[in-house]
Amino acid sequence: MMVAAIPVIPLLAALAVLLFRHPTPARLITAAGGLATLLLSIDLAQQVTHRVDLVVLPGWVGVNGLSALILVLQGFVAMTATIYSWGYMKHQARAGEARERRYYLNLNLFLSSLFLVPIFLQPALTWVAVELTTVLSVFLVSFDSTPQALEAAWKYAIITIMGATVAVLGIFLLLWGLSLAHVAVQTWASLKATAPLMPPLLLKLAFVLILIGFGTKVGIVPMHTWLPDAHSQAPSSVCALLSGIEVSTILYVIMRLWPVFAWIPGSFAQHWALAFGLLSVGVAAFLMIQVHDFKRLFAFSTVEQMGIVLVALGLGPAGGYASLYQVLTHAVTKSLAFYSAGAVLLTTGTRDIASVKGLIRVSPVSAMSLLFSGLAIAGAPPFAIFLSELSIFRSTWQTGHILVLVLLLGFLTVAFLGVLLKVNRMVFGQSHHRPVSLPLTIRFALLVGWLPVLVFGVYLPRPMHHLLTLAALTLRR
Amino acid sequence: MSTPFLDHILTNINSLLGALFLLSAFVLMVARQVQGFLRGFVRQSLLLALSALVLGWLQQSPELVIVALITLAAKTLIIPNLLVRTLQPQIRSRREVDFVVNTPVSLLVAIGISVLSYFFVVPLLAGASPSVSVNLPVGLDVLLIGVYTLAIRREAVPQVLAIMAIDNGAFYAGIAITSSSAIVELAAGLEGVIVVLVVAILTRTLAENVGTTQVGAMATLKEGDKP
Amino acid sequence: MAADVAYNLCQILVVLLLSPLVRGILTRMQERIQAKRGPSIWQPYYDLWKLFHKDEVVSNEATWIFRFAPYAYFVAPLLVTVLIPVLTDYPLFMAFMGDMVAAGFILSMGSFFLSLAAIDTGNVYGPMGASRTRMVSSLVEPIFMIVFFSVSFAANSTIPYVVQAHWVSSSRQFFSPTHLLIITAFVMIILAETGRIPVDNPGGHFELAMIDEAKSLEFSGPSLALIKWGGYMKFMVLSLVLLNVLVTPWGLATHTQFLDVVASVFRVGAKLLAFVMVVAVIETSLAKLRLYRIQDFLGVAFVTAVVAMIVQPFHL
Repeated sequence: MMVAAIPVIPLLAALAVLLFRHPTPARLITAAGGLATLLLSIDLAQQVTHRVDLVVLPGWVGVNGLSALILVLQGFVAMTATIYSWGYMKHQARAGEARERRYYLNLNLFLSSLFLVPIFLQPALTWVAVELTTVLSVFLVSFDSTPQALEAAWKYAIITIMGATVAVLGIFLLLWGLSLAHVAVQTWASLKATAPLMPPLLLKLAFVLILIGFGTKVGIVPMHTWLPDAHSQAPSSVCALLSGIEVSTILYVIMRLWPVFAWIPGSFAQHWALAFGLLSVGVAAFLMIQVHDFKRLFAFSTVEQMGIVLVALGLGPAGGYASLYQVLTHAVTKSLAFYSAGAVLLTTGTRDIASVKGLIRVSPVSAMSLLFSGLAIAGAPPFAIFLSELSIFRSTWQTGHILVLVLLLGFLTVAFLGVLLKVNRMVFGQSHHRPVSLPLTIRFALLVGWLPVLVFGVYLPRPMHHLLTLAALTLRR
Repeated sequence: MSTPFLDHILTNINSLLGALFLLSAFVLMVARQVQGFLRGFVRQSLLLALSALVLGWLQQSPELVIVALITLAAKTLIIPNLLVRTLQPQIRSRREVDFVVNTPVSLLVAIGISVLSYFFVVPLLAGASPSVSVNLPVGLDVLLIGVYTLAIRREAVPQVLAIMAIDNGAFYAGIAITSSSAIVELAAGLEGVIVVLVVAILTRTLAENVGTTQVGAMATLKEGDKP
Repeated sequence: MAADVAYNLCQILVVLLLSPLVRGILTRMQERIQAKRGPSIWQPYYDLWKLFHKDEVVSNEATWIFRFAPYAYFVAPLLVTVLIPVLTDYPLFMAFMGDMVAAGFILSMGSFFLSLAAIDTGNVYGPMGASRTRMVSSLVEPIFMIVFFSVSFAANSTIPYVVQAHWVSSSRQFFSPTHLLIITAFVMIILAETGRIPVDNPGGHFELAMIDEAKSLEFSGPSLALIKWGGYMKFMVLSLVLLNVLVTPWGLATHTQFLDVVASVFRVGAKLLAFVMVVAVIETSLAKLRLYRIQDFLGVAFVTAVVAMIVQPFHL
């Protein structure tokens, strides 16, 4: 029953926010809700590692290794984001009390929809949940109500809803495959079991529709155009959620269908994933050199990271573990990067890279956090992403994709240089900003956010490794 | 109560509905008046509901009748009313004088899309029932034409409705090839209403804060030259 | 064989003699719908009679084309007549000389000569009308082709008699969506090709707005009569293709007895009357489109025809 409780907690929190006029209870309730979901999902993950699959409502709700991994990551980012929101929203110049309450209402609703995605056993319901994540986060993206924020929200809503609507036909096609084989149960498991009986052409068509459809929301090039806008215009706590975990949550849907698509003859799905993945990494890496807005820098890095995950998926069974490892490290590192960016934004009041200088003299905490999270996201040791990228390189080498490896290394070097150049310019040099002290909750969120980035950069705890292995197993056909 | 003759007539009616459904996608693509676009969308949804009813009779499936009712309620009543209520001026007076691509070229592109979607689907149709062989290619076609329509529009309301037209296309194929449970259908219908509600509110905020609903003209967020 | 020749002559005579009447009834009906009295239904005959008794004026600049064009325009529909089922539903001896594509070509050959003749004299309005007609025709042509091809998908032939037999034999096919869409598209291109509202206004007298009429401004006397008569026959022939081949393939003579053929004149006449009524209603309820909107009208016809072809293969 705990599985169902996870999305219900933010929903209850949203209702509670409505009850109080003052924002303080809303902050408290939301943060408590975030913590509760994290604890619940960790507990759930532990149960899953013992029993492999946890079915609550047969045919409707249940969790396997992969969805438990996503839930844990969601829980973690939700927890840090709700704590971070506390200080961030209080110090946002434009936020009044009523607006702050509305923010918490929307945030909780969005979190609830996010938790819904991994717990459904039916693809059709999961699709509804995916649509809900978009719809319920639109007002979070447009929260600042500036023309730019509204433009970003518009693109976000229209393009990603369009993508999800295209994907639904892919899901229908898969369900048709089920009915052709006279299977009445429409769950992931029955799809996986029936896939070998489906016509390959049907699988191909469904795969293309689903990859393009959900890929739009994952931010795969060339469907990424909305992502840098939405992931930079939203409040930083929301950016952390969108970039850190929402994209991975949508990618989870594609991953969940991966064993089905693995039955397409000729490694069709893998080739497409490799092509789209490399394209995303390459385009994002070169765009990162051109950005003027440091939040957009991290947004493009999300496109790049999702590309890397796709490349790892495209390596076949050998890359399964590495791709999930990358999802894990990306979630913790990218959310941290946006927290740091938000702290810088609070200190300087601008997102323009050129007008931020000498941050280290004004606010050492945000400066150091930005510098090191920039390094971490670019894949420098001794941070988490370094290890996961290393394991991807290793599986690329082992599976003999030398060209892919060379391209990947080249693009990652470009991206590394891009991040380093921009961040360097902001952190060092002469300063003209007034010193600002960061709110306590932001400092705390940064501290908590740094923990896994540092720990996973040195070694992967045994339970985590266990969960990843379990999740990687569900990627095999 | 089901005779071969009646089945035959209904199959033919379904094919006719399919042809009209496809034509409605073309109409949406070239409609200039926002109000005309809305009317065209309502008609298209009506055709979807009718097709679901006919197929429901043919396949003896009560789920499809529920789908038809949900479609009727959500897409021909609630969504248009919602849009008219929240966006009265945008719907009544706006019209698009120029598209991104002019009409004759669009027609050719759409016909190209039709041929393409037909070629994708036809190998799957060997041995399929007549209703599947109408609904699947037409559904995919309407979906792709909807995506194209969305791409050539600059005005806010037609963009929203184009998304719902894509949705219509997907479900038009869906009603023939699969039957989901009523709960899923209800969730999907409700979700469509929420989508339109949210985007309509967003459009109103745009009209109030930015002063225009020409969403195609918004391009402040980009790389390269400094803003 | 002899009967075949006789019936073929009958067909030609029917088209030749009844086509002005069809036009007369159409005009009269339109005027009636607009609550006017309108001219007598025999008025086209009076017009032709009068024109044939007038002298002809030919410009000094005009070449042989100007003299030749009216004959070409007059003969083209008659040639088509021998290819299509006008009265009998069994093929007559010329039936396999050409298919519907050939019929289209013959008709457009007549129009082509008329356009040349319009340019020939150097009159201002002639070339304008000619170029506008070309614009409309060049848009109509591909739609004709697509309609014929979707028909041939269904009937495995483009010979009008075979197609007609196909629709009669299978009522399943008759009610298929393809058939209904083809009919819609075909009605639209008949309106465009014969210069009716909403594409052209045959009753208009304003030279700048003319499309079809502008071509015959320079003609007078017997030449003008031939052109007018040719126009009447073209409309009737296209209507007959629509009625006898596509929409209502029934009512034709099925036996070789002479009486049956005579009776079929009345049955076909009744169908024509009904169709003329429909055209009259369409014409009075629509407004003439702006010149630049004609392409939209034909675009709709084009899409309809293409959609007909797309949904076609699933009903074989």
